[in-house]
Amino acid sequence: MTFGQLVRKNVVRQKRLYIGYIASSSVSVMILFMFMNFVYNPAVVGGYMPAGARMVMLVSGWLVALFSVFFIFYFHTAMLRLRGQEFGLLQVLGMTPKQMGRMVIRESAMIDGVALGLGLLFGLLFTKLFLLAVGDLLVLPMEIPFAVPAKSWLVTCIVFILIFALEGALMAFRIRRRGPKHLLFSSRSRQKPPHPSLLLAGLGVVCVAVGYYLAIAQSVRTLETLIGLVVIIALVVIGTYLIYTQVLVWVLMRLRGRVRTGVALLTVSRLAYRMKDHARALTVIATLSAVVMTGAGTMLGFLSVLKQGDVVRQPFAVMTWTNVNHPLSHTSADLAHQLNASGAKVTQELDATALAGTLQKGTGQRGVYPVSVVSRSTFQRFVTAIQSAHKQVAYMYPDVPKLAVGHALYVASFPVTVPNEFHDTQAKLTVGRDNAASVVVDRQISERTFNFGTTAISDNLLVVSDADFRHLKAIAPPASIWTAHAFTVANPTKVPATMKQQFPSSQVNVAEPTDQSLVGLFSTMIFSGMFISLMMLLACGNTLYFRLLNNRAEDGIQFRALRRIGITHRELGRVLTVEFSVMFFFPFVLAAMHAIVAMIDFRHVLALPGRLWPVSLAVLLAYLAFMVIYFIAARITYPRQLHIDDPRRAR
Amino acid sequence: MPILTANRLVKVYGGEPGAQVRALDGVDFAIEPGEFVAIMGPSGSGKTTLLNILAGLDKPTGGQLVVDGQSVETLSGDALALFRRRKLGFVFQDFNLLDTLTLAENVALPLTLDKYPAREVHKRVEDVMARLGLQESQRRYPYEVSGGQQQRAAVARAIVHQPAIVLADEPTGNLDSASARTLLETFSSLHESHGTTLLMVTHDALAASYSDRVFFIQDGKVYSRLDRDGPRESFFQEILHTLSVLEVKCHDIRPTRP
Ligand SMILES: Nc1ncnc2c1ncn2[C@@H]1O[C@H](COP(=O)(O)OP(=O)(O)O)[C@@H](O)[C@H]1O
Ligand SMILES: [Mg+2]
Repeated sequence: MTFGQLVRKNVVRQKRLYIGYIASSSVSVMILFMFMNFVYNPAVVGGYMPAGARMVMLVSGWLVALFSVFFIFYFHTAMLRLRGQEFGLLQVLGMTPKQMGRMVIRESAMIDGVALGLGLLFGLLFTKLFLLAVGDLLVLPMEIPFAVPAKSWLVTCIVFILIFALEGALMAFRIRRRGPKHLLFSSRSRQKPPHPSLLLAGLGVVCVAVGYYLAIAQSVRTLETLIGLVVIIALVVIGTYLIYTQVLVWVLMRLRGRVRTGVALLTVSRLAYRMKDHARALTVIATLSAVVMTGAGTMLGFLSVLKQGDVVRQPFAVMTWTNVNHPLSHTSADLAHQLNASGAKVTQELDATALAGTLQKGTGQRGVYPVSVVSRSTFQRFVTAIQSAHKQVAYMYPDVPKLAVGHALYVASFPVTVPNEFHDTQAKLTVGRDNAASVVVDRQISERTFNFGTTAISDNLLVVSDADFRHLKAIAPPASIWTAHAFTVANPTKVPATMKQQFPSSQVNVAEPTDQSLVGLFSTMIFSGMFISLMMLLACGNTLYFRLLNNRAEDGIQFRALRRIGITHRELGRVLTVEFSVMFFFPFVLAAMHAIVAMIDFRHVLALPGRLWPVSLAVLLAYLAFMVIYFIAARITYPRQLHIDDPRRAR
Repeated sequence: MPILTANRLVKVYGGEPGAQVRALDGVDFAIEPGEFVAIMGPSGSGKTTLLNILAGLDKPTGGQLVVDGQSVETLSGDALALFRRRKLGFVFQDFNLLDTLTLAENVALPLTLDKYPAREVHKRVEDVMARLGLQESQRRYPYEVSGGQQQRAAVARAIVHQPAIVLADEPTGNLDSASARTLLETFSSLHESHGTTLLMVTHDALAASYSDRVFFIQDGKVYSRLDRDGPRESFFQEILHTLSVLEVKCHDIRPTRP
């Protein structure tokens, strides 16, 4: 046997150790390769693609590479740590530090080579499917032709060879500096009982709480700067770590004094003693999981909001504006006739009178708001019409309260960009040129009741009491009195395309579905995000896998000893079930909490109307399902690997 | 000329003066080539510490250690690794075979590290394993054979490169009594017919009775030594006797200690 053979045998016969690492790395390679196959596809480079799609994929590719760096380093370190005993022995037998480094480099070259090869192979296999899916999402008129350009081979190989070479060299360097001390003759490290500190436990809870508070309550203000974001993340990560090492251990030690049965005692004390070892891995898992769930949840949620947004931006199928100076060439009866003739079928027809005016808050230029003044009853009619025409968004259009004389509501039609400016605010309302009247604007509501896109009159409304409105209308100059006509229809897709061209664009709005290319682009982003999520999920799985491998030898010894004193398989099973549940689901609970907070925060920042929760929750559940499957698989296979009843492994 | 000389070896653990432990407190002894020496002592007496220092795995706080004419405490890095590789053989209490390698491959490890030609490796491994009765199990993996066989493979690994001295730490500690006996007989036959120099740490009087000489250590010092000059059975009785005397002394010195 030569040195090279030694290395090879060591790798080949420890497949189980490397499986997680290789799976993880090769999936990263595969994903980057597929992304690059899209980015450098001649049809994409040349062509008819929405310009952003290529960019999205390129950025996602870099993200994949970035995450790969972290994962590969992290997992290789974990793998080498698992083999501490082996390295110690080899050093005792006289392996020089230089040989040690060489061995690690050779091993890395082997497993990384396999990972790269497998990744490219699977990437090649799935590229066609991937291109099809992306083409579909982007609603392209034709398929993206299959191609595996030389550039994408090159980029993928260079990126990963660079990462692998770097990490191989670093690992070799680290292993060389390690002494054989930890394999001193039969001296086993004694485990000290854990001493959780109440102070640190409190600090952990406080960290998480402050992080949450900053995220939810101070959302926009904290996130204005990147530092705010970093602070929140740091607080939550530190808090999570302390929750594992201190809070959880403290609870376990408390429990330990309480439990009665032997099995329960065994379970609790094993967990308490091991939690410090698990803490780092479990923090990584909780953080990764939170990132995945938040990312997937917000992205998918955002897409669904984007789709719901059609209605929210243009509640009426057709809307026209007219006044004495701007007559329309067609009457409303004419329009209704056209709509019915084309099969769109008018379901409701409304009209409204609105007065063009300005609202002055305080003094100076900044406080001037152009508004369209409508009466409360008119506004309510429109709200009612929307409620009945679009049941799915009815919750966003609550009924408006009756207004007292001299009181008004400000309706911001761009909830995304308009800050909340009115709150029992005294203001001066001018209709026409100079008939100033004083009003109290009770509050601001954010919704769009009149279609977006007509510029003849302001988008923002001021709702006043019916009595006030009658008075204002009486004194308003005729040029500032506008009449709106709105239609809801049964089949929005059948509204004739010619309808819009009959009027000046400032006076008409015909609802159109959200720009398909935007949805397509966004879907592509989510699609590539899914692959990154997949990488992260694998990384979580891998981290747990390493924890289990790490415990296995020790558990084998402990359980064989317990077996000798008569513990049953069922009892051992119970111990493992509880322990695995904590390892698999406790990070999930924390991560889910973090993710929910992040999504609340996201809602604030986005300030879009629409329901984010159903989709986001679905993502959490999908994640949980993954964890459950992994839990079951581990719980079933683990006991077998302990060889509890094998007398040969009696030590 | 002795193959191993320990001269006033001192080992102090811990930094601060209050928390210091003098694990070795001036240990002196010498081992001649071809000797089989046992070191006995109660738990915590410093046996493992001594062995670690002899193996170059740990540095003594004071004193000199010379193995095969080489002053060990002056070595470091690659030189120390090469010293271990060529001059020493190790047998551990828990075998420490690599699960990924067959028994034969495990035995070949020290030669592999030294880049011996493949044929030479093969020949030597065959040879040693045959001598230890492991011909049948060469291609087996450690977890496929009994503890006794694993330990014999570990012994084969310790002698395959013909080291100056073999160090064994409680080699029978994890074996049943039949396997322990077989192993000890292997040791004495290696010693008698091949002149292998052996240093074995044990707290089992039976194991110690296979050696030529026993050093008793207590509180980091060599307390007494016993040379064998007769059949093994009577040496065994002598060892037991010495141990009982030591125990009484112990109690005299530190009556409060449990
Ligand atoms: N790494 C260490 N740090 C501090 N004290 C140690 C260490 N290793 C051993 N000791 C102490 O040195 C003494 C001798 O230990 P050891 O050599 O392991 O004895 P033995 O092997 O005979 O049981 C003991 O009191 C032990 O507690
Ligand atoms: Mg010891």
